[in-house]
Amino acid sequence: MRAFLAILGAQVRVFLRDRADFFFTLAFPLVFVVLFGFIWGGRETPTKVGLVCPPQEELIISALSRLPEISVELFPDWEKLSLAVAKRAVDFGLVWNGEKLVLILNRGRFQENPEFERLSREIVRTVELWGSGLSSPVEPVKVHVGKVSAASWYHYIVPGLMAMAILQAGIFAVAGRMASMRERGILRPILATPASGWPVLMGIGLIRMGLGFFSAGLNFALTRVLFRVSFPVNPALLLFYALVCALGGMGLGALVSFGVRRPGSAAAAGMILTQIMLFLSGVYIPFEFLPPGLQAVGRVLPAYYMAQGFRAALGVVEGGAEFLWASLGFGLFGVIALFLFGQLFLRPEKG
Amino acid sequence: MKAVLALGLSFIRVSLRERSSLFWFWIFPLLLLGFLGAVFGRVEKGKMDLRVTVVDLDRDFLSQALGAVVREIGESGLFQVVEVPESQGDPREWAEREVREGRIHAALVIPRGFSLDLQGFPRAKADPVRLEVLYRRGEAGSSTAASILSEAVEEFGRSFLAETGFLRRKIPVEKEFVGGEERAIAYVEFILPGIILMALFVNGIFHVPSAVVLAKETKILRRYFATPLSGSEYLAGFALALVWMSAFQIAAIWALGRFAFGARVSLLRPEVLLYLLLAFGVSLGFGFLISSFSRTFAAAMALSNLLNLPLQFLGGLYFPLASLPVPLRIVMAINPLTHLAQGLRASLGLETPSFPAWANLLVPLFWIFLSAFLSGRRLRLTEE
Amino acid sequence: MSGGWPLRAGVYCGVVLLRVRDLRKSYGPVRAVDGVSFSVEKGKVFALLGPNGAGKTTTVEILEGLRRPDSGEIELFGERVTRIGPREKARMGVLLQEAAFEPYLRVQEVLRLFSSFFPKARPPGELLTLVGLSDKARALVKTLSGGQKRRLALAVALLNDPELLFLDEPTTGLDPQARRHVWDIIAELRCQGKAVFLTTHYMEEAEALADWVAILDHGRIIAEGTPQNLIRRFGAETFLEFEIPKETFPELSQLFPGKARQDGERVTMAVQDLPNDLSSLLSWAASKGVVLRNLLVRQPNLEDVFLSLTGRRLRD
Repeated sequence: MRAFLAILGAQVRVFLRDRADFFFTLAFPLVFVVLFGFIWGGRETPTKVGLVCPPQEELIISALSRLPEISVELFPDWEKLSLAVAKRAVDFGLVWNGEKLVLILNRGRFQENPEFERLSREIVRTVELWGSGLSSPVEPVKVHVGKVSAASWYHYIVPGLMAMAILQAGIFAVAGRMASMRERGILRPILATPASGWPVLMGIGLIRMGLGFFSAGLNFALTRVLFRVSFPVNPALLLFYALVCALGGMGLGALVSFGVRRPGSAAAAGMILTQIMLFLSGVYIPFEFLPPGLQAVGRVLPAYYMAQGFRAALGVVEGGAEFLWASLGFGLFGVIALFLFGQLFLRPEKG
Repeated sequence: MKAVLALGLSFIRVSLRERSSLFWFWIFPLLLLGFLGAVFGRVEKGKMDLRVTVVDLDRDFLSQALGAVVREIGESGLFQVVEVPESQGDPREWAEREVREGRIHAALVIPRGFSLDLQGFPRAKADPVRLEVLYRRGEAGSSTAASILSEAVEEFGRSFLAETGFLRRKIPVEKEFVGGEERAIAYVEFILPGIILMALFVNGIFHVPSAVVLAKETKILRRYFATPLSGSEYLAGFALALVWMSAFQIAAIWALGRFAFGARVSLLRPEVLLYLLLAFGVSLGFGFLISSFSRTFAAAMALSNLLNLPLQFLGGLYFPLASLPVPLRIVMAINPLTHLAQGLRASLGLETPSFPAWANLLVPLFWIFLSAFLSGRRLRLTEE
Repeated sequence: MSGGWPLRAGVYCGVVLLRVRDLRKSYGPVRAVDGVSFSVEKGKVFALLGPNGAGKTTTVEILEGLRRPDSGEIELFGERVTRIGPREKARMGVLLQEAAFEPYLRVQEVLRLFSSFFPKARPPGELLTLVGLSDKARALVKTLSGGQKRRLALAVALLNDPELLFLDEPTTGLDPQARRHVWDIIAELRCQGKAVFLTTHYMEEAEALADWVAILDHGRIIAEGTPQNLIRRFGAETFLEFEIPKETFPELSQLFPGKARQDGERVTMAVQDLPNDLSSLLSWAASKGVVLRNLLVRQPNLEDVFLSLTGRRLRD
């Protein structure tokens, strides 16, 4: 017990003094939250539409003003409007001569053009209907049936970021920190003492898990403060997913360490694995957008399940039994892999 | 000259042999282009793995016609229509559960009496018939599916009025694209210059500290300088290696875009080469700037990582950036990558830049001179 | 003769390739090099001997052009220099105390790379054979052992067939066999007329190789001369070494005042009259029932010289 506590204290001191480690573990994930939050956080600013139309054509202006998500700027001619669209001074343009509508789009705005086209179709429909003295006979009403009533983009990405922070901390606890200790011979003097090697392993694991949790918690807190997002947290489920994620992450780190011949490559391999999971887990890019082949790969990787698990724990989605079982399996895998790693790690001739 | 060439060759050898360097600098840019091209190229063509369902509580001819319209849209590849199982009890409850639990992205619920109400609508001047579109707000896939279903409903209503002769006015719509050259541009063509800039930038901000700070820390530099080799020869050798590596990277990225995705982008225009040269200068400059402010290699790597992704994303390398909060807009404006991306895309005919051409040249040049000035004052290759 | 390796007398003697006068270097309050003067002749091995922290590496790095002195004069190849530049470096070979090479380059690639830094260079294969690394020509540097890396560093130091060679702790970390091999190389270099400036904290190395030894302590040369002269001037005739229980030492030191020195249970005694002193010692031990363990008689060495000058061991 004494050795274990001493190792814990030493690992905390090592972490606090290693600025690069400190940065990567804590600060780096926060950069993502802040950056992505502001870039893609869905601040609801109106779409700016440029319009060229004859002064007497009030119909189209009325149709445009009906749409709350649009702000209209009038332009004197087609050329100026085209330039404004090209330079992104407005999001898209409409040229209406009373008979025909020309939709002007910036060819570089790939993500947004489909939405702009949809808006323009809505405008056309409204003008056609009003021009015929009609209104739309149908009214589709979007009904949010998800768990969180005020769900937003943040509700889906933040749990994923938290899952990745813990997963990454777990992977690097083993593939990075432990493997590096072994390579640099830091472990040998400890193994030459009466202290069992298991406190060392557990001490490192506990600290790194704690750091992962802390990083995840920071993500959560920052989102709440900066973007005023709240989550109906299920604490027990959150603890469960956090634990299995950390254990499974360390198990993955152990797997990576087994798989690479040189200890120095384990951290690099762990980094590559993390990046792959990041892209294929549905955290940054919606899972549905991935080609079927990549979706199949994504479903094999634990990050997908962990991200969904955290979403369930934070009350954003319904969990589903498949995620629970998969996560439990991942946690068990982690325990077994860690045990095997410990056997190898703690053998004096290998340490 | 002999020493410069030999050093250049050595740097390239080391970069190819060090596995993490091999992956991040040589392979990753190609993987990223392949990945983004595959994902967003697919999205661009309207292919997403969305699942929707239509709950027809009316089961009359107009509701069935609406259902058929939705299925027809599905056949274009935009989504897959999941049929409501017969034995599920209340179909609306089933649909709501499926959407809430994430197995279906959106559900269109056609209410009882839909066909009758719709038929009577124009004469009776009644309220429009409300149809529910169940979805999960905030989730990209579900929001997209819901928007598609909503529009399908609106379009169906319009078509109904047109078919029944009530709609007297039909407005033809033409589409016109502006920005860049007059041709259709695929997402891969848009992103290819971004990936090239990313590769160049990453090359500079990670390789330079390795060649300067790490080599100094591990005393490799001091071994070199115990020979007649001068500091400027050493840096020239390194810069030469970086030029070769960058040229190869650019060629490989271009080739992947061209032959795997059919991207038609010509890099051999003078303005394009100018921006590539500026990009090379900026990447070197940032690399030396980081090296001159870092006492240890670990500190240099932390700084490189801190700058790397934010500058890339705020430079619009991968996606055009919509309106940002003021602080981020300022960062965007002074970020050399923003101007390089815009300048490069403009010179490739892919877009019209939102910043003036002179800004797209001057901002990178400013950073090159600033980095050269600051690192010239601060950087020491030897202890003394 | 010096250490068993023959000197090639006459041909090169007296040609000074390096002369240093009143060299000084401080780091804050610490005077790392405090007014050091010496000269190195062609065909001779000059050893700068001293414990860790004496200022040896600082001195040699100044002469290698890696540090700037605060003051002092340096004359290289007959010309006074204020800066060790490419022209001087082209005629020098350097083995640094910590020699690092790119870990992902192969041994022969390192040699080829360094060859390109000099106007003329010897064939890499020849040097690899000389240092015994021919079978490692294609090995990556990161796979070499510490000793092999040191030998590679020596090969690099010899690439340009230098007139003046700086070897900073050349055999540190080498096993005895490898060390002897390096000594052979150094002796051969001397015979070829090279001037060798050697720093070491191994007194046996200085004794074996050096034609001239300067003992450095706290940045100053406290004694210099040939190894034999130094030993004669500062060392006693003979030394007795043995082990006794610690508690019996006070009594022994009364019997031999000022002659005995204790290091744990090991005692070293400087004696002028071996037969009588040995007899006295044996009588005392017999009378007190003290067993003299591991008793040996030896000649004085540079370690004893340093000890008598400073009161400390070279390896403390």
